[in-house]
Amino acid sequence: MSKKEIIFLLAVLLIGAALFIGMNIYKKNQIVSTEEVLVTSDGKEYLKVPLSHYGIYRIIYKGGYNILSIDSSGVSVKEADCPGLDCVKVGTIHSSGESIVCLPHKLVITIL
Amino acid sequence: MKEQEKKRITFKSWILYGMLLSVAIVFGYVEAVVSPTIIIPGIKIGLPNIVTLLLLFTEKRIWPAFTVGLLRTIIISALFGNLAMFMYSAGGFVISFCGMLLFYKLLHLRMLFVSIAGGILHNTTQLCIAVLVLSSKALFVELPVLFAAGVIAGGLTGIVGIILSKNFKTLYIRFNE
Repeated sequence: MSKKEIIFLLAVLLIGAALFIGMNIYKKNQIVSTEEVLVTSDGKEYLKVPLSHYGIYRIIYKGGYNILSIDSSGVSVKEADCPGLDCVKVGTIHSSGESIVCLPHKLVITIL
Repeated sequence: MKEQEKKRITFKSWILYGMLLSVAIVFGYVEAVVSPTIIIPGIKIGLPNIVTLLLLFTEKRIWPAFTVGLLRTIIISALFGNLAMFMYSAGGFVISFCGMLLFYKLLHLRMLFVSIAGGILHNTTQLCIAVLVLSSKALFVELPVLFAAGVIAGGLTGIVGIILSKNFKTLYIRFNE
């Protein structure tokens, strides 16, 4: 392994470690959580409700839909008509900073 | 010298590129079938990049690797994806290709490391595109995971590329005789 390659591997390791540590710091700074769910569709705010507002929310985007559910276990997308259903596979999120994304519908659901 | 170089762009070369493009597309199909079942949605293994690596490391010219890579991105997105997927794939490919070019031609790293660099760049670029398109900086929390996935995927495809490269060189020489 040449010197350049060793430097490359070390750099990758360092950047990776820095990213993970940075993410942990970011999460720890999230002490002040407004406990709200923010839904952005196509970059614009679509819906913003407190985490306590349990219920089913239907989000429509250009003929497609995602069904958002907020309950005691957290926030999840129960059903959608996007190909791949990545948003449903993510499951339930419950902590501040976590998010569910549906790329084909340009949908981002975040817990603030 | 230019006379010799012109002779090298033979009809046979085109056949080889066509075959490699088909191989890359089949890799893309395999990914489209296998990937949705992997734990984290949106994570792919990057198998078509193996073709890009092989072309990059055996050809003296740069354009075959780039053109085959760009075409496979377009065709895979058209056949097994949608316009949104193309946006992410194309952007990811272009940036990761430029990076791999840099790491190989300028820094002279071997295939495994070039592949790792390509994987990291591809995933990171896709995340940046997603942040831009969805106007949501919150997505950057996925960066550590995508970075690691890029390293692993790049490592795996790099290893496969190394295994294939010896036989591929033989094939390439035979084609250009």
